[in-house]
Amino acid sequence: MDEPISIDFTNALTDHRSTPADRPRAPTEGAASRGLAALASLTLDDARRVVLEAAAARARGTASWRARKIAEARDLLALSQIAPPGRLIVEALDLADELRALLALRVPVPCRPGEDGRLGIANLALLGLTYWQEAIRRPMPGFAFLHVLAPQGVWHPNAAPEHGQPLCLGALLPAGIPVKEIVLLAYGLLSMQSVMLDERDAAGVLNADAARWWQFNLDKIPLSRTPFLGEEGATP
Amino acid sequence: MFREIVPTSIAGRASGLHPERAARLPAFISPRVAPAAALGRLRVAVVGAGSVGRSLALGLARLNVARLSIVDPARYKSESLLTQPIGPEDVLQKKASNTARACKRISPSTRVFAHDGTVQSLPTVALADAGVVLLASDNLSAEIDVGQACMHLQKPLVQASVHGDSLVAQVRFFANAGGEGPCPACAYGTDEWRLLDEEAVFRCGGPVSGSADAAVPRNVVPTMSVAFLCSLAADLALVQVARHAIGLGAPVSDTLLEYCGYTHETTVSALRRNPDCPCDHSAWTEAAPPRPLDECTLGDLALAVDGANESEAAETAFGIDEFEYVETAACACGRSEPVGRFLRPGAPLGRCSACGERLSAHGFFSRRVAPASAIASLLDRALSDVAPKPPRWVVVRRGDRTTLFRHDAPHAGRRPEKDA
Repeated sequence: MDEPISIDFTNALTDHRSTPADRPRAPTEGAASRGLAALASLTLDDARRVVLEAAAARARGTASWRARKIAEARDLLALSQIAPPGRLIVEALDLADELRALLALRVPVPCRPGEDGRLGIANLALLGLTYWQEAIRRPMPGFAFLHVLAPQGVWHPNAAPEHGQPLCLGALLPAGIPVKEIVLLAYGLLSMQSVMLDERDAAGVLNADAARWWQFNLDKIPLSRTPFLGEEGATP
Repeated sequence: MFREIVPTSIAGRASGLHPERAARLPAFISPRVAPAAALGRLRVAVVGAGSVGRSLALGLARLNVARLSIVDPARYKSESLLTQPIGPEDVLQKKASNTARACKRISPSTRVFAHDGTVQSLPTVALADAGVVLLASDNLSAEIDVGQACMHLQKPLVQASVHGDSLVAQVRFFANAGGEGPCPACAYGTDEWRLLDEEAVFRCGGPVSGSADAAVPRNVVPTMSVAFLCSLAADLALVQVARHAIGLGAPVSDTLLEYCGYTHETTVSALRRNPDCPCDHSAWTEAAPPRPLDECTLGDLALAVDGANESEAAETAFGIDEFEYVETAACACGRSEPVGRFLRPGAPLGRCSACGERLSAHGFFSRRVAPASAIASLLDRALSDVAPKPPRWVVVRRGDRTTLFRHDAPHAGRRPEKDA
């Protein structure tokens, strides 16, 4: 969180960095060891608190929707705080209407195989998150929340090539699903710790070509066994 | 949205047989308004045209109401003959259109409309013309969305339902005045929220736009009841509508009326707002645009909200009709191209300049409500120039308030139209 956070998303498609090495490191307070249970009681560090307050000041909507957006955003920032350094960075946060956030998620991302047939793997995903107001009162389709803004050419059964690469987290997500769960689902999906490969199943396959390719390359699954709160190289 | 039912030749021939409403209208005791005139002005939307909803619609037609709009996505099945006032010839017919035609035959003077789709596929504003909305649906998602729309539009909502096993008919009357009262979801417990998740499924085609509106009902259990209980619930609901419209007896606002066939007891209790209800209980304000809507700019409308000043106008967000503001188009090749226009969802965006494939709206960079900061270059242009076709409404949001401008609302220099 050393980097100033803006609500301007316009550069998101071009101004992303593709490796974790050149990204700011997220402080963790060692909270990762306490796991997700620590989220609720975690005190946001100053940088994150400033981000939250700035976004909250611009929030529109009813008192209950503003409160919900702020609570979800707080959990999102707290999640980035307890995660291993660089795992999750909240690049931008906008609570004006919907909850919109630009997230850098350090996770292996499968990319379309090159001419040599080798699968490309990026080590960072830039995600656009939209948390709709209706999500708190009705179930939503799995593709409603996240788009993979970078890398392009994601080669994943559950990421559509069109419409800005929406990521389908399942056939249906329950009413009121928390934002932190959406992020954790995305991590599991992109690292292919959980994935739907049957292109005939309506439960989330948005790229049938990729689904068929992966059916013949099951040995490459998962791309990582590291849990969201785990450090790479550590025993899961 | 809605399609108006025109009289068929049969209805036309029969129209000479239709008596005046006054021929059977009783001399109600102490009405607060003139009954015939009140019924003649009444505009009603009926959501659900099944075992309860069809009886509601037919009953309203017999009251010769001014306008009747009927919504239902389903068709009648053979089992419908057991609980619904239809004949064998109606089986396999679309419920909304079939019921609307039946209503039109009964009351040719009533303007009757049908929507053979889900109520969720209609925009909130679709119910704005109704004076009262009747809900007779088993679908929890529809229940929530109708409750939400009526809350926003401050329309009274009358919900009729039955519980067959216990011979109970229930009628809830939600006044929706000022956004302070309860909505249908206020009474939901854990079971209802679980059922809500279970009854929805989404098409596998993926997103058409950034919205998530592809829900279709699943696992919706049909009404397990008997015809007499369903029609009883409908008739009780019509009693409440009449009491409200004509001003008969004590106000029925925010009440639950329940009849139990086992005990013959009728109880009336208060409906209460649940402070933890996750639904949006805000009441929108309807305002007159300063000029015909398509001649206004978004800047005009921002300033027309209770005389806001320029700095407040900058903190405003806009929704125009069913259009979405597309900032960026995306191509499957990975290229993105700027758009910066309000468009119909799914509207063609041309071809990718790199690969020639079709461009689509980028889901993350498309918005149903666009903040002024994102559309600064459009704020001073007439809506006829900003939207792909003349908008029917614009929603203006600022702080915790939402203001609705409609194209058919009176504006400066135009007199309001009389009720149909």
